[in-house]
Parts: sequence; C-alpha cells; structure tokens
Amino acid sequence: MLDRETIGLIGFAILFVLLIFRVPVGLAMIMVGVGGNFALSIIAPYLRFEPYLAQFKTLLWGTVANYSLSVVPLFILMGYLASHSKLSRDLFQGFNALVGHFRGGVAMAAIGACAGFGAVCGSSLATASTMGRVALPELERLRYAPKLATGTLAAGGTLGILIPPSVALVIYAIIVEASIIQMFQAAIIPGLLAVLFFILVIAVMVRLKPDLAPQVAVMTPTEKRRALLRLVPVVLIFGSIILGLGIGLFTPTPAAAVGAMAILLYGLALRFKSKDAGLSLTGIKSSILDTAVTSGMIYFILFGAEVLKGFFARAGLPAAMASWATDSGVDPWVLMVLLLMMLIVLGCFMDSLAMILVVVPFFWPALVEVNGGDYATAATAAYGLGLEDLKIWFGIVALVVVELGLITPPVGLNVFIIATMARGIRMGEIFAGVMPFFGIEIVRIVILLLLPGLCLFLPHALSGG
Amino acid sequence: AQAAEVTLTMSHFLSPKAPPHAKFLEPWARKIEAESNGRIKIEIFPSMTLGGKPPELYRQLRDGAADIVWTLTGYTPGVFPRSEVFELPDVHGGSAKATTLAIQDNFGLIADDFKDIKPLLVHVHAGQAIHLVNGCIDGAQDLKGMKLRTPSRTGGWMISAWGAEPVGMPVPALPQALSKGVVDGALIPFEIVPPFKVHELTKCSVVGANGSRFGTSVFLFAMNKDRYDSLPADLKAIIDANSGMAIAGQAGALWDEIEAPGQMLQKKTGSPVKELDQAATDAFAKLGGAVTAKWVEEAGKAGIDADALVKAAKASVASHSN
Amino acid sequence: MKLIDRLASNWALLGGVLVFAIMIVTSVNVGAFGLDRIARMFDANVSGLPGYEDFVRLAISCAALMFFPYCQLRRGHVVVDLFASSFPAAFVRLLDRLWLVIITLLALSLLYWMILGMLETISDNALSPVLGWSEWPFYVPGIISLFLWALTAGFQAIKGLEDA
Ligand code: NA
Ligand code: NA
Repeated sequence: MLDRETIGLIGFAILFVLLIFRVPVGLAMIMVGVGGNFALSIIAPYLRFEPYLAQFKTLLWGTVANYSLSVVPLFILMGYLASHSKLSRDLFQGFNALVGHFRGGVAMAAIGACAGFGAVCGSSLATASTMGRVALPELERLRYAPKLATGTLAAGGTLGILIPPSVALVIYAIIVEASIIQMFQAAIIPGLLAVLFFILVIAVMVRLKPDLAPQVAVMTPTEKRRALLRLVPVVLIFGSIILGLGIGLFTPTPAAAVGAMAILLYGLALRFKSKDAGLSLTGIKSSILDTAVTSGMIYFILFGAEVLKGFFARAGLPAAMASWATDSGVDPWVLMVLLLMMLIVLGCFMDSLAMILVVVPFFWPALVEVNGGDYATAATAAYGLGLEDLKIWFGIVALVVVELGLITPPVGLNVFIIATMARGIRMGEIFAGVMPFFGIEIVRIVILLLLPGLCLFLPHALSGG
Repeated sequence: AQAAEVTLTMSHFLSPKAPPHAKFLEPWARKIEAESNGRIKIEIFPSMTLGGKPPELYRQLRDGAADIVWTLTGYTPGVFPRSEVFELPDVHGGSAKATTLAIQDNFGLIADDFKDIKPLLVHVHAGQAIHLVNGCIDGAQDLKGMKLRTPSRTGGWMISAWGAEPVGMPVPALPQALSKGVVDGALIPFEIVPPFKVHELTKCSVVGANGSRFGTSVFLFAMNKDRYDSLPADLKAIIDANSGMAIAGQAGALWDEIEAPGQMLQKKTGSPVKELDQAATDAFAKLGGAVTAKWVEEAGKAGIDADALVKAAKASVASHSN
Repeated sequence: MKLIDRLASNWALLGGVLVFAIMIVTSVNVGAFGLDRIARMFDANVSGLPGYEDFVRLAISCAALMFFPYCQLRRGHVVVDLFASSFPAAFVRLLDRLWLVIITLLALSLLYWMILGMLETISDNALSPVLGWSEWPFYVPGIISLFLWALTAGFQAIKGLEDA
C-alpha cells in the first residue's frame, strides 16, 4: 500500500505532466489538489473527502477577500496606467536624450527606461512588452544589431520584477510571513546592481564589436530639451513612489493606491494639455481590462496554490521535507545550491509566480530547519542569518534565479514577447543576444549569495523603531 | 506501531513554535493519545496548512474538514453573539484563569453559540494591554485622537468610546504600521509582543490597576460534532475528562503565564509596563460601561437576554478573582 | 459569443470601477493621515476613514472575481508552452477543448459551492470585523462572476481554439 508521502510526490509529478499537456497552471494545481485529496482519503480514510470538498464553500472567497493581496491588482493597474499614459515613451526618450549620443547609448537608455518603468510595474512580462514596444523601433531605426537590441530588452524586462514594486515579492512575503516593505527595500540594491551590470555588458560589447551599435541617436537641442522636460515629472512621480515605498513612508496598499492615483492624474493632465498625449478614456478602459487579465490570472493561480497546499499538507510533505533536512545532515550550502539549480531548471518552463507558489512552501520549512530552526540567531545559524534575515535574503536570491528563467532557453517568456515584436529575427538569435546578460546574471547571483549584506543593508538601515 | 482505532486531525493558525501549540495543543493531544492507550491518534496541522484563512477554521470544523480546531471567535464576528460577552472590558478583569472559569460556570447561557459543534474548551487570554509608540499615558483623556489597532468588534467600540480611532488590521501587518506611525498604538495581549517585536516599536505598555486589562479575546477549542458522536463511549469519556471545567483552570493559568516573556522584553528595552492608578482605571471602566451598554442593546435585538448574561458573567468573574 | 464578450468585458470594467474606488478611498485616507500629522502640531486631529481595511478587503473580494470571466475570454490563464510545439496541431486543439470543458465544470462546481457558502454566511450572520457590515452580499458578485466564467469557458470549449 502506498503511503501518504508517496501519494504527495506522485501528485507533484502529475502536476508537471499536466503542465506539459498545456493545462492552465491554476487549473492543474486544483486538479492535483482535489484528485490528490481523493487518493489520500482512500489510503487514509480519516482524511475524509466529502468534508474536504465542503471547504470550497468559502475557500475561493476567503482567498480573494484578503487585504494584503489588494496591492497586487493596484500595482498592476499602476503599471498599465503608466503604459497607456505613454509615460514609458517619455522615460525612454528622456534617457535617450541623456546618453543616446554615446556608442551603444540607446541600448543603455532602454535599460534605464526598463528600470524606471520597473518602479511602477510589478511584472517582468509587462515591462518587457511595454518597453519593447517603445524602444525596439528606435533601436531598429539606428541599425543596432538585432541580437543586441532584442537581448537588451529581454534582459531589461527582468528589471520589472527586481526593482520594487514586484508582484512576485508580494506573494513571497505573504507565504513566508515576511514584511512586504522590507522585501521591497531588500530588492533595491540588487536591482540597481543589475542595471549597472547590464549597462556594463552593453558598454563592453559595443567596445569589442562596434558594428553592434553603428549609429548614435542624434537629437536637435529643441528635441533634447523637450525630452528632458518630459522626463522630469515622470522621474519625480516614479521616484516618489519608489522612495515612499523604500523608506516606508507608506505601507504597501496605500503606496500602490496613491501611486496609481498620481499616474492617473498626471496622465489626465497631459491629456488636458494635448489631445494626443496622456491618458484617454480608451486608455483608462484598456488599463482596466489589461489589469483584469493579469490579476485574474494571478488570483486563479493563488487559489490553485491554496488548494495544492492543502493536499501537500495532508500528504505530510512539508513536514517530511523538514525532518529530512535535519536528519540527513545535508550541507546547508549544498542544499541551497541544489535548490537554486532546481529553480533555474523549473524556471525554464514554468511561470515565475507559479514557481514561487509551488516551490517555496515546499522547501521553505527545510531551509528553516537546516538554518537552525525558527529561533536561530545569526551566531548559531547555518547561513549566518537569523530567521527574518534568511527570509529576506533567500527571497531576493530566489527571485533573481527565477527571473533568469525568463531569458533562458528553451522557454524564456521575455524572449518570446520580444520575438513577437521584432519581426524577421530568429528565436535562437535573441537567445544568443541574451547570453552576455545571462553570464553577468550568474555573476550577480554568486555575489548576492556570498554577500547577503547587499540585500540586508537597506532593510536594516531603514527599519523603524 | 499498532494502528490507531481513530485518527483525528487538528488544525490551527499558529506556528508549531508558538506557546499555545507547544504548551497547550500538543500536550493535550499527546495526553489523549496516552490515556486512550494509542487508540486515538491526533495529527496536528499548524499554520493553516490544511488550506484556507483563519476565519475559515470554524466552518472547516463544522463541516469536518478538520476534526478539531483551535480558533478565535472574533475571526467571525456575528457568529458567536453570546460568548462575546466575555470580551467586554468591564466583564474581563485581568486574569485569563478567572474569566475562563467564569465561562465554564455560565456555559449554559452561551451554549447556543456552539450548538453545531462539540466545544472542548472556550477560554480567553489574559487581556489586552495598550502598547503605545510615543510613550505612556496617565488616563483615557490622553488617548484622544490616537489611532489604535483594534483586536475585535467590541474592541473597536471601546477605542471609539475613549475618543480614539479604531484601525483594523491583521497582526502580521502591525509591526510595519507601528513603525511608520500608521497607528499610534495597539491593543494586544503581551504574548504576541515577542513574535512581532512590538517591544522594539513601542515605548510603553499600559495596563489598569492591579494588572487589569481592557477586554480580552475569546478562543474556541472544539471538535466536530459528528466525529465526536461517532466515538465509542469509552473514548468519548476520555475526551470529556479533558475538556471544559476539567482543564479550564489549568488552561487559564497557562494563558496568564505565557505573558511573562512579552512583559520582560518590553521592560528590557527600557520601556515601562505602566500600571494606571485606581482613579484612571475607574475612568476607563466607566467608558467601558458604554461599550457594554451598546453590546447589550445589539445582542438584545438578536433575541438574547443580554442583561442577564452580563450580570451573570460579571458575578462569576468576580467570584473567581480574589 | 458577441454577447458573452460584451458581458464579460463590461463586468470586468465594473470590477475596475471597484478598484478605482479602492484607489480613491485609500488616497483620501492617506491624505487624512497626512493632514492629521500637520493638525497634531496644533493639537488638533483629522480622522481617517474608520474600517478602511474592512472596505478594501470586501471590495477587492468582489473585484478580483469579477476579473475572472474577462481573463478567460482573453485566454489570460498561463499555460506552459514548452512541449506544445512538438505536438501535432490537431492534438493541441483537442487538449485545449478538453481543458476548457474542465474549466467550465470547475466554474460550475465553484458556483454551486459559493452559493452554499453564501447561504451559510447568511444563516451565520457573519459580519466584517470593524465596520460590522454583513458579509454575505459580497458573495453575490462572485457568484455572478463564476456563472459568467462558466459561460465564457463553455462557449470557448464549443467553438474551439481557432476562434479565440
Ligand atoms: Na517593479
Ligand atoms: Na519598547
């Protein structure tokens, strides 16, 4: 007779089989959760199936009626409002006016704009698609090598989720019960590091192969002045959002709501000044509908994760993971590297949010145990970090690793998105263009692993009290 | 090991390291297992791992998705209209033990709240203290205009009665709110001071004279009714011997004890745990009377003999306090 | 399909209006908080909106579910496409329809359960913690959403992939 843990592991395997056969992620989680609980009720009759099903009377409503999660649709709306107000264009052209005249400068401006847009957008895919639409035509016009242009934008898109706000970090913080604000604070230095590294990669590449970026952006002084004038308010608004979040002036939901409000008002003001700028009624409608698609998708996955969690717990998997971690005496760093490698592999074909929802609840207990339990202090812990610091540091490293999956073959979602916009370029060529960025990302992950202080400095320095 | 005759699942919302799990729920389960010679096995699922959010625990219990749960009745306001009486500021004094015993004394009066389930123990914690970001107060007048986190519906009424503003939020959001001045203070018991580092974020904790408190919260530890009914008589007897009055005194004392680390931590940061003088305490009690009046009126509308309930509860708490 | 299209998108827009309401209420609350900080220097107080968190929680519970039918309409649910390219196109279309049928069944079951949940919430007289509002009316938009979701997915299942 099968034991419960085995059924749990079989369920885990079936989940991946379902995903391969194109079952929507949320649905796959629900199918495995419900089916798995049925299987458990057969081998362990005290885990009765009918009472289990009765939970669904309130499980869906209970999942969505959550104050902490209200930041998710608000951050998403904020990003789409910024996008439909064409603030992404102002951002790119502003940066272009600043650095476009350097060799490779337009690509650097695109990285800067991705980072800037990341400050109002919680998702990588949205950042990649928004900035791709804005920057790709300009890069093509100036005959940048398609490889460099698309690689830059696919990689730049990942900044959307590293630079706070970040939907993935919100979800992670809720799972491990960390402070959302502290997670955001922790992401700032690693995010800026990524910007720096990406710009460095571009600089080195165009130095080695000048024909990657044959032309520079030429702007008349008037054009330049106008671009810079447009950049200032955007930088001010985005800057105050990230600053307000960063120094913790706001708690998450107010920050998201006020940010969205500020962008809405600015977009309307632009519209008031000129009929073809800013936010139109159609733009507002599209923002809402885009928000509906993205939030609907996220809430469905969250609900699926809730169902799956109930199955894994009844199967005894998290407890088994935790006791395995303590009994096996596995080296903490081996466990960490294994875990991160698994995330990279899964990231190649799974949505980043779904990964965080499936993998983190599963492995987090093991990580805590290996570190020395809930009450580990920096002095006694295996990773040299107390529980709260471990939450922050692991969350950031895991997020960076998960995002790597967006630009790695065979399925880099960012690459796919850029590919749909850049006609006449093969997927392989984009992946080749992404490779230098991938390389520097590995360097960054190693740096973050070795120097947890990079993640922890800001949350510590800014924590109140 | 020999397979148990009955396996029961137990679900609650705290981590397995939290004192209520480690010092009450886990020992209770092991005791039942031992006394039944292993015929009963109890498997505990902490931290809501069975799925759902804490407000759903009661329904999970009623439907049998979990066989035993430990939850706060305040998670589902309106569902337990009678037992709410023991939360009231001028019913609960400052002792979890006294109020928990009083609940057992008057169980007949509140039993209707629990008719769909098999209650094992209805109890309270030692009571809310006021934890303040900007330092101590001398009386209710100093709280005017402050924003305070409320633990419950009646807690919100009480805060309003003080002339302060109630803010509702889940406890995990509290540290951030305290450190950013979103609230000026919070009404919580001392036992959740350590896990949420409230001592690092507040400069003073205020209690009434003789350690009295500003209301409390009612906890429900209960079993699914059908599941209980389906047990053979001798196993039922073991459960019965470990529920209600039989364990109320011990559990109440436990909830009084688990406050010590929180009080100590607050003092360690150099912040006083201030005991108000008798006059200030009486002034608070007077304002608390308004809350009770409002409660009596609301409960009365729902067809509950609220006046009698308040009187019986107060008398009983007094008789258990010395 | 045209009709469903209109229903789902207008329903999502209505959900969007709720999110805008949250945005406005929150901004007012933040504004009151800021004014309060200033007023305190002059020994005065500006009150925020009591029960604000209750409101956000209830409003978002409606809005989130109101987005589901439109998300389905636009095929917004993430699928993993890694291996699909090696499947025959007809097989992919068949799979697609199969999962749409299952989503329809799921939406219908959730609809059934949520109605039960609402009836139970009525008989329990469950209230929101601070505002003391009855919780059951906030199940209604969700119930309508699940119905529309089932309708949308059901029609997609009948029509198949090419029409998406
Ligand atoms: Na972001
Ligand atoms: Na203190």
